[in-house]
Amino acid sequence: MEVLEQPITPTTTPATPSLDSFVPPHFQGPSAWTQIQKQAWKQYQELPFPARNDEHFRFTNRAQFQFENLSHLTPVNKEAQKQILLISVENRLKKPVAGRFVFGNDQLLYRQNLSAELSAKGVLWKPFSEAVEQHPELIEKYFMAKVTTLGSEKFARLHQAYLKAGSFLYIPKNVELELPLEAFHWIAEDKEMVFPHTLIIAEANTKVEIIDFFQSIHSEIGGFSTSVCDLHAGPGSQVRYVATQLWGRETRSFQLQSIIVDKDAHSKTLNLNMGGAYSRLESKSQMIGSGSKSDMLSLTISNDKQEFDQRTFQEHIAPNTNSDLLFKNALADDSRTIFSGMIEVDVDAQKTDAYQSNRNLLLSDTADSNSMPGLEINANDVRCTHGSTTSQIDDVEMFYMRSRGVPLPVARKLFTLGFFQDVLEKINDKDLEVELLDLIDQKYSQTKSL
Amino acid sequence: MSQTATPDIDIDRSVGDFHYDTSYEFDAGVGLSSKTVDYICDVKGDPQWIRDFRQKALKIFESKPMPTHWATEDLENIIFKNIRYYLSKGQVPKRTWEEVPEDVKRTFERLGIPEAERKFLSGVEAQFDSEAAYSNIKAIVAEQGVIFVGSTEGLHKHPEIFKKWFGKVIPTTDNKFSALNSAVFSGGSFIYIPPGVKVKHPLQAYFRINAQNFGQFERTLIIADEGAEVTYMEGCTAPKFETATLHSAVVELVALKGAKIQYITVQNWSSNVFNLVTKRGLAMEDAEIKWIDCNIGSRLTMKYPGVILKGRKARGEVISIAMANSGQHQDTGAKMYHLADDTTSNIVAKSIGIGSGRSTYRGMVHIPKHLKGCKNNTECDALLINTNSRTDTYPAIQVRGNKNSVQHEASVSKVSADQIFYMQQRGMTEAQAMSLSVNGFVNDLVRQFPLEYSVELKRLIDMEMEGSVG
Repeated sequence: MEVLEQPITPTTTPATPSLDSFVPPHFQGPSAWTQIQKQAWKQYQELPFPARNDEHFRFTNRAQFQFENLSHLTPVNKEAQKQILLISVENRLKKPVAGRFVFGNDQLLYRQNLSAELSAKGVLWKPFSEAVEQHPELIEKYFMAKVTTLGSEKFARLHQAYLKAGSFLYIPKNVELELPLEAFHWIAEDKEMVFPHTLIIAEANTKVEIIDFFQSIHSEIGGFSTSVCDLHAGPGSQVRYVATQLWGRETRSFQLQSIIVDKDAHSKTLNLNMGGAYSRLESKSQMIGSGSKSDMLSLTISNDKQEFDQRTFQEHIAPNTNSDLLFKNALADDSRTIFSGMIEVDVDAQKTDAYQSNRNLLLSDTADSNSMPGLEINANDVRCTHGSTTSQIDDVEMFYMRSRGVPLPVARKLFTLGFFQDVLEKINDKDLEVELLDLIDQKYSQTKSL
Repeated sequence: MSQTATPDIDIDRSVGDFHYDTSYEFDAGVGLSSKTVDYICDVKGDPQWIRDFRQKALKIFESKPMPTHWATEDLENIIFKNIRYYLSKGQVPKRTWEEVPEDVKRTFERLGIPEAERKFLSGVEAQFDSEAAYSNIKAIVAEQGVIFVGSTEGLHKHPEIFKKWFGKVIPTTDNKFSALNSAVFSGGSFIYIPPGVKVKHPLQAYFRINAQNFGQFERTLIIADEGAEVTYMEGCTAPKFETATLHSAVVELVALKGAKIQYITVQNWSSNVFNLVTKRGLAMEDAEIKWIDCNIGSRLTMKYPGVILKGRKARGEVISIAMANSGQHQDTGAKMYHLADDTTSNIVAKSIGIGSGRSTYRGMVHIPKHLKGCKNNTECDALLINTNSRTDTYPAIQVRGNKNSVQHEASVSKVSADQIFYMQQRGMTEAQAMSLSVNGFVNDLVRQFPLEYSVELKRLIDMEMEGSVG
């Protein structure tokens, strides 16, 4: 294990009045990479801000996108470092992992490298900035090769321009990782912006699990995050990606995921969304090889005035492919969720089996749930269905629980957890399930209204 | 069923595909300007407030962009300056069949209108291009105080009811095409059912476009007073011309406390008509509005019948069947706005894609804050017959409030190969088996249509299915 006592020398930039007038600090790297970042910055500036009538931002409260006085790469002080490492490393020693990174304000604070055995097999697990220097050919081939097109292209370019911190994982053919990999991304300062990246390249017949944790040092602080997960599941591979989002209550975030699944590969993603003021998740799966399968799962617990904006896309390009999406939201107080999903079946993608389901549980009279499940089917020999439900907990069920002596908040919590149970079971990993339930418990202990 | 591409089919639309040369007494010419609107006002003798209403609507129409940021680009192919906005042979609809001009009569006789009337209708109105050519209502229904006239006559003779509700359910600013209709509307029905009157047999209207490059803009307003009940049916046909034709209607329904309105449409325009229609009903306390909408013809249909559920326990329903054959795009759906407690709505939409046809479902269910006990159920199913058929579903569901429950389900599938195989080995041809399957797919909806219409629909489906497999 290797703890970095000093963070990599940060290049601090002063607070700026607004995002647009700010030129990103192109970090020292190979010039090809600098070019990519410069190009991205140019594109970011050229792209228009999402318009009011943009279908991709339907129901979104656009007034939230006011990013002012943000800072980037602020050094993490000793005390904060200690707290971060306590939560992300010391408290987790019981859980064996194959590798772990901890980033604070986009700076690497801790790294646990792969075992010699795995390294010898050719597995690469590196901080993104190192990968850019050491493996430019892989970066060139896979890095944001298919950018999401669910509305936030401008923010994807912003991410690209600022990108510095993140995980890079490459698994050569026929290698299976028994233990998961973990990456923590912390916001340790109010009004800090971070751009976490996760690039997963799983070659043929590999198996891996990777978990991202997005957290803020205090639940009250704000900030801005644009993260991208770039997942390439090679033929016959099995990739599981889990993202837990626990940003502070004032944080606004864009979380973009691109999942590319090749022949006979199986990808499973799970998003647990609990933090942030405005959190947008864009997740796109592309089934490019016959026999591929993508499971897309999400759990959201919202309260207060939180807004969760979720846009998904299941694109069936090759025939005989399968996708299964299940997004569940529990909404309390004045919170809002927006779900907009699309299944697209290309002309040649016969024998597609696609499902898309959005379930909303309203825990208050003022919560607001919006659901737009969509289908675009261009092939005829398919089985595509979607479903959306929105409802509250049944009075009769509640009455039964109370008549058995269960207090109201406990009963509500039990129902909510019961509502989530099938998603948790779908990840098919008992340890992870317990861990996620712990995180959910934390949110419950912090929030009275739930 | 093999996966090989099946040949496109050509449908027999001969029922409506004929036209007679007709000379028009009134013709507003080609293109649209405030002069055209003035011409229409002069010919129709509109009161000043309607003239102002039309002129204002024209400005709104001109200022609104085409909704192509969400709708199909095909809309760009409508060339407004090439369209004739008003054509008529006379202002006053005839009350007896004999009075109707010979050429118009021939048209409607081919469509079977007087027969249909004799058989089972309470009243009928037939619109030929811009104006109603024939309007009649059975004496017994008229005696109950039911008003069933053209929109112009309604406006002149019953201004106190007309003005109260006209343009209130669908404001001029609702969309570009409702504004266009508000500027140049002509024809359509005005119906008023007095309190407690239950009209036993359906009232019916036929819409017919006979002239090339013509735009039909009928305006229908139906008011069912407290406890009244009425069923209204409309059918549409047009001959197939070389150039595209535009039909853009606005239909407003008002169901006061406890009233029931059922509105049935069987749309079989020829396959070069742009059918862009705004339909919406307002349901007060305990009222019920039901749209039964069947779209078979047209090049592009964009129609999303809606119900504003304004009174407690109001109920809205949309039953929709769409068939899209090659060259057609049926963009249909439903809107349900819940604005009161305990309101319920139900949407069932089924679409069938044949050849390279494209069918789209777009829906909106809106339940705002502070409402209790609202329920919505939406089902939309699509059946795709050929490999190049296409279907899309874009529902939007917005729910807040207390004890509200919404569910939406959609599925897309093809006809089961096992079923077809089974029927074939029982001696049916593949086409017969397919036709039976498709009829089975829509059967639960077709049964809700009046008998005459369901028989007609089954026949139309059989016809559309001809040659679609093989």
